[in-house]
Amino acid sequence: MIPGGGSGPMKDCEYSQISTHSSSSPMESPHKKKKSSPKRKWEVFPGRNKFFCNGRIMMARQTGVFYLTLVLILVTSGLFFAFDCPYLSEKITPAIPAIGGILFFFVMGTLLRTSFSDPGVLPRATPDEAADLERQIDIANGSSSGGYRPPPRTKEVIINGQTVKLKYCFTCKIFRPPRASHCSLCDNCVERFDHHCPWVGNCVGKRNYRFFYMFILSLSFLTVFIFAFVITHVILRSQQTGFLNALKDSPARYPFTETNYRSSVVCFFSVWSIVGLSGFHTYLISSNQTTNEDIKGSWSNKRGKENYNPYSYGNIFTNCCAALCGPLSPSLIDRRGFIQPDTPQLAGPSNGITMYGATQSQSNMCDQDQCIQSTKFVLQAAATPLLQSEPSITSEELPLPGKTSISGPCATLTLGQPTPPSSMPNLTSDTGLTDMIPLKEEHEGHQFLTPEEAPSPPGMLPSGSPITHSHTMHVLSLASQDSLHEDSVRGLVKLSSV
Amino acid sequence: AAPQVHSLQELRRSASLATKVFVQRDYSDGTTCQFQTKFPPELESRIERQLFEETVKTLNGFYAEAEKIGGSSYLEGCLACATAYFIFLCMETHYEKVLKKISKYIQEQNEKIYAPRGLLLTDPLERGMRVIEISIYEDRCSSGSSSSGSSSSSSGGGGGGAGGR
Repeated sequence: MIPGGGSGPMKDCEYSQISTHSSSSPMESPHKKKKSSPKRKWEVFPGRNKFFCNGRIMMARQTGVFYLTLVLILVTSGLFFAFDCPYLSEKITPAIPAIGGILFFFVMGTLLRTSFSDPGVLPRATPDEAADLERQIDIANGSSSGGYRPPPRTKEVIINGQTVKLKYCFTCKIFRPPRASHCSLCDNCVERFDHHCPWVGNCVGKRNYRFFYMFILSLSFLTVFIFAFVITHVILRSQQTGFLNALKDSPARYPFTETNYRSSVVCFFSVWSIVGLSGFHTYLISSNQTTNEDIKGSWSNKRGKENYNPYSYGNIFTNCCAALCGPLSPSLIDRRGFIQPDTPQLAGPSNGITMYGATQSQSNMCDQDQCIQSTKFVLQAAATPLLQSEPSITSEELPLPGKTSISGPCATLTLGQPTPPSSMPNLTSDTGLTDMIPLKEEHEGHQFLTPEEAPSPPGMLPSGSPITHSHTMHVLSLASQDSLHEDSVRGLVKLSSV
Repeated sequence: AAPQVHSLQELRRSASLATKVFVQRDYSDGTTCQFQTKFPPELESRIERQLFEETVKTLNGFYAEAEKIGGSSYLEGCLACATAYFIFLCMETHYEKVLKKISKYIQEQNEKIYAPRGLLLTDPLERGMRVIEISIYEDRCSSGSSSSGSSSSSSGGGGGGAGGR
């Protein structure tokens, strides 16, 4: 996700960095030259999320369906309150609009909470962590990992007597905790991932599952309530004037009866789907499973007699209480925090420790060791989806090369150095996955020229740093050594300005 | 002889970061937040095993307390539900209160135990609750002397052993 507004900060970045060959200026400096106010972390968040109200509100990128949900609920309830309630409160009891009002208030509150809160996103690994994990994986697999075909990265853990496999997430560079999953739409790992719900415009995970459940539960009650009383209204009126007349009278005195009819149709269909969904989630809560686990059949008896859910507390009541009334963990991504430059400095790399960079904000000359490691890593990462058949990894791999519109063309450009600059315009088309497929094929076809010439791959993102800045910085730090690189860098700059 | 007791500020100014050690999560109890108490070999020469284990065990205790499912958490949950979760706008949750305690504890441990040995603990909250990051520093003034693996508790001139091979 490109931070800030499109081309503005990137233009600053180009100008300031082409003029200097040394990479002593920190990555954050283009931003700081523009304004003196420090950036907040949400502005450089690497996932595909939208933020509002200066980071207080967090949603997925596609929010169209969420607005549809809002409109449906508001319009249906609005019509109910405007046209049915006056009649019903007179005829039957004023408690009806009161209860309806409470239900409506509850539905809106839980909907907004579900949509706007952090579902439990796991922040991506810092470069130091990622390097440390890489090292440990290499040690575990043996030094020769067989070229570009790495063994699958999994760790096994025994939880309550059940063996659980923890998978390594290539995008976030972490081993996912149990029950976490990577959402390909939001490009984040989410704890206790349930599903990505387009109706609420957000993922449903550990932190907002209870809000989601209360939302669909209260919405079921609301739709049943509205449906029942709209029918009651029509029946009562028809007793007075005759059923067909009640509907016929509509254009003249009761224009709302047409809309009554429409709102009851909406209600009818939503009742069944929402009530069904509430029932399904009630079952999930009582057995302490996520939608993800249920769909995959992770804990079903069909996999084996020994298979059982290690997270379940044993009885339905405890499971429900734990899911709904358990403690609410805080957000781990600290969206409104300010980006701080770290104070410690990097010690000389002579002791052979490969550190990607001491800090997130200071960039140093790219250590050859790091480049070798990181390019090896991206090759493995890019090659993995072609070799593994698991859909879960494929789905998370595809966003990796296509992360931003800059990183993709950059990689093709710099990796495929023999290709003439005239082929560059092809890359300026907007990225879809179709653009990234040629990238992978090039990986297979071209050998890396030398590790020194290959810059940091687009996949390696120090968390908290702007994507474009890190990439151009590393490209430029090597450009000083190679004039051919300078050409490609200028081409890169042209792309950046598109 | 160089003074052995560093304050945190002095540490940052006079020392340079040598390496970082990461204490990973222990998932054997499920998804609750617990860290492994296994002693990392890199710290062998820097700190006593028992002190390290005690720190990690105390942290684990704090996290268990934060995530405990019991009477008070149910009450908080039900109250929040009854107010359509609007109460979270003004009230601090139990978990957040414990997190504040944890950060105070970590700061205290850093000042009393870790900084004098040239180490620095990072609050796991800043690392997404994945790891306890322990930064190992070496004194710049003594980085020239490459003495391997001297004991840290009374080593003059700082621990040149960490990372120096």
